[in-house]
Amino acid sequence: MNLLARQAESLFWLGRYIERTAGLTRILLVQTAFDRGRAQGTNWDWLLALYDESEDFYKRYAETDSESVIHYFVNDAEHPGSVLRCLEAARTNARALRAMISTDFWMQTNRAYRRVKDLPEKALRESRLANTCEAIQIDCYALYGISNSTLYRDAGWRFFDLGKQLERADQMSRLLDVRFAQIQTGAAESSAALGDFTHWSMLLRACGGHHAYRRLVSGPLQPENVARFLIFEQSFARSISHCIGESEQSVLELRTVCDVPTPTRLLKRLSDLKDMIHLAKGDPGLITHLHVFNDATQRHLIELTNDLGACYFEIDVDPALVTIDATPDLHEPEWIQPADSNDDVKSTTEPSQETKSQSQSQISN
Amino acid sequence: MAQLSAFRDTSEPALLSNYRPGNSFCELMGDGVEDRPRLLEFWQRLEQLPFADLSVRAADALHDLYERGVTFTVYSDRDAIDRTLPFDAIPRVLTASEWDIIDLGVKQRVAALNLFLADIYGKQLILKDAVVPRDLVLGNANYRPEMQGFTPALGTYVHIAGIDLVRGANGEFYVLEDNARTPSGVSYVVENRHLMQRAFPDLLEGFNVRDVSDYGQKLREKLIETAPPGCDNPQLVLLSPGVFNSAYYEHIFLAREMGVTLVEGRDLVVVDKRLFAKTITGLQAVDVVYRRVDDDFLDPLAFNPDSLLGVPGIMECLRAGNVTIANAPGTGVADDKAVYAYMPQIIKYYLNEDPVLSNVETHICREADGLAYTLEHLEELVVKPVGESGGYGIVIGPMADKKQIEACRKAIMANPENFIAQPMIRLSVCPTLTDEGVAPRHVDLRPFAVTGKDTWVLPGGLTRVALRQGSIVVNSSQGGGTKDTWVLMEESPQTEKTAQKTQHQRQNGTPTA
Repeated sequence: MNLLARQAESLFWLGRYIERTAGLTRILLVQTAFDRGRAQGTNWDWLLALYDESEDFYKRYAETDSESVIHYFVNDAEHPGSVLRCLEAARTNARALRAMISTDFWMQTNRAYRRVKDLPEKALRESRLANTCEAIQIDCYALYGISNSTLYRDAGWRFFDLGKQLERADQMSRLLDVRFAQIQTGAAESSAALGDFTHWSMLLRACGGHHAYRRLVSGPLQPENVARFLIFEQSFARSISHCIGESEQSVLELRTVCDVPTPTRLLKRLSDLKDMIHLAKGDPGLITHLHVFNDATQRHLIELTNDLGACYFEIDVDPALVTIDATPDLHEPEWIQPADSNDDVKSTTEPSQETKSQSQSQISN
Repeated sequence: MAQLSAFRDTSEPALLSNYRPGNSFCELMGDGVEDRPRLLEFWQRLEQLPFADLSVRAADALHDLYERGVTFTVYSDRDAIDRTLPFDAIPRVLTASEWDIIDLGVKQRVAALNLFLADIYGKQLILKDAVVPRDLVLGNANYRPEMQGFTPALGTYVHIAGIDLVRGANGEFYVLEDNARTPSGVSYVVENRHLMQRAFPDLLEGFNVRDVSDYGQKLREKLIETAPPGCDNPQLVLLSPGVFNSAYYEHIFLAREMGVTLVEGRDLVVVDKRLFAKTITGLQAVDVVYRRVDDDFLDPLAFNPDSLLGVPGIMECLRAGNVTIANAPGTGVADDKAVYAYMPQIIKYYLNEDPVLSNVETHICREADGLAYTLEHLEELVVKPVGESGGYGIVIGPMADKKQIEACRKAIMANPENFIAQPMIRLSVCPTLTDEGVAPRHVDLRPFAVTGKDTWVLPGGLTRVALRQGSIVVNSSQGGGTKDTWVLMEESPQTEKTAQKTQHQRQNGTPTA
């Protein structure tokens, strides 16, 4: 039996939620470890902008002090974007997949969820937050390690990987957008101009790319170089380009390895996105309209997720389409004819082939 | 294999020195240990173990089950709480000859159940011959008129059966209840054995215990045999109500062991009386459904219209002969507690045989004699409501106070057809770990039988144990736990010798195979 549509969807979201947890935790970690001790204090507002959650935040909190923001992002059960809720969602998906995933994977999902659910208040204090975030991150890495070692390399693996890569690209694009916007609108700390070393160092660290960048580029951190590294660098596992490349690989493998048809719209979407990234790479003025680029990337990623849904997760139950395949045992396909009735083939099969393709194109429209 | 992990400190009393089974039949001692040499050896093995060591390892083993997710799930408003079924480390042991009787008796029972179902949904000869009262069957809430005039492949209605057995003070087995709908618990049989192998290899070593780990493959084989005729390469799925079902772990377990896809109702769809699964490549035909969804929820078009767990139209597929549903809808009428009383006659009617396993004597309150007897002897009888399961609503006369007896009398008189009464069986006991040491606790046994072309019975079954002292209610919802159940291979002189050799080697400290 092929992978169920529901299982594919659960694997996709399992990948997304683990990656979202890992990404968010890393940002919190960097924020708390590197952005303190500055004269103007820590700015937590940008985190709300990152996930577009200011409105939701102010429904339940008065101000963006560290205690409130940390609670909001780590273990606020009311906040669907909190680490707690992401891990809960990952666990819910894993539970639905338990017949497919290894016991070790399930155990680790539970461990990760329980750690955050049972966090003592003191673990969220600024002084302890770094330790807490590191532990959560390691839980996520363990999940990746176990999935890598134990998940079947069937179509399900590709959906899990697609979830992970698309979420990673999405996070990167958001992070870039918010960090650059802060500077352009002067919302960043003090007079932080494009040349503020700490700012760019933080951005690199927030996506685990500081040392990778340093290996490739020496000298002072140039904002444009940083942006280009985070978008285009193929050897950096979190660059947008890399994530899209991996996603394309997974989609291609669905067809080449798993015998799962890959509809044209999906391939078209990926190729459009790659084209756009390629064109942006050649644009010398990219840095000045980075927001436009990020906006377009976000739109493509959303459409890509929608396409995956339409192609694989929501199965069309149109009886007209189904009955063609539904009774293969009862009738030979029309194009298989006994050798001695060759004469009849042309007259009978051709019109019916036409009808078939017509009805199919109607359905796909 | 591991050796005894620790030898008993001789200053401590032996594990079993204070063990007194009283008037109950003891699964380990039997009528006297001399008559049962195989169990004598096990007894001696057990006596070597220090209690503290055994307790610690038992606790570790239970934690191990929890970590592995071998759990049933209880849901609160927000959270899913996974719980393990209490596991007792001291196994229940059955000899080869004991098992032969159970195996034969269960097969006979299942054969009769299937013939009975084919008849009552077909020609209804047994009703015409007035062997079983017509209204008891046709008026039963679990009788499904939708099944009339249609016979499933091979005439198999009950593909999976769990026959609950108890053992009386005389050591004889009785059938307490037939479970012909969607009996559960088989995952514990296999998991308990695996747990024993991991945690107590020294207890198992040297005994020729029959394997239980191929249950999934046997089940798959038998289910595939019952695929609709003419279907090659039948596709089998396991239909679960989903993650909110308390037996969800068992569904995962069975899907994995069979190597089939675990589906929910929303994954299936009916088109032109054919059943399909929604996969990433489109709709894929399904031929056999092992469903763990009750009749009521199976098809909103045929049964409960509010059900979201089922598949609209699946009954039409069944009636068109396009799909096999295991167990077939409508089997609940055969395991009804009142129909149970007629099982000896049902076996005789279809098979012309005497029952291998006896029924517990049952007084049917819907019948005048049975009602009169029940009301007269309430203090001695166990009264059971007909429609309930899970041990709910049972009144145990000898343990009830006056008030309870009178309430029970009122309930029976108001609705006699809802009740049956049985003499209280003094259930057999098995040595069991308790906080105070090893003590006798009452047990029952649920062997599992799977039926395709023929019937295969998993050697052993689920031993449930009433962990509360004196309690005879073994249901997990009422504080019951489980034990590993060992069926020993043939007791031939040869195996005796091997066992002695093993013991000899162990005492000399030489490694055994």
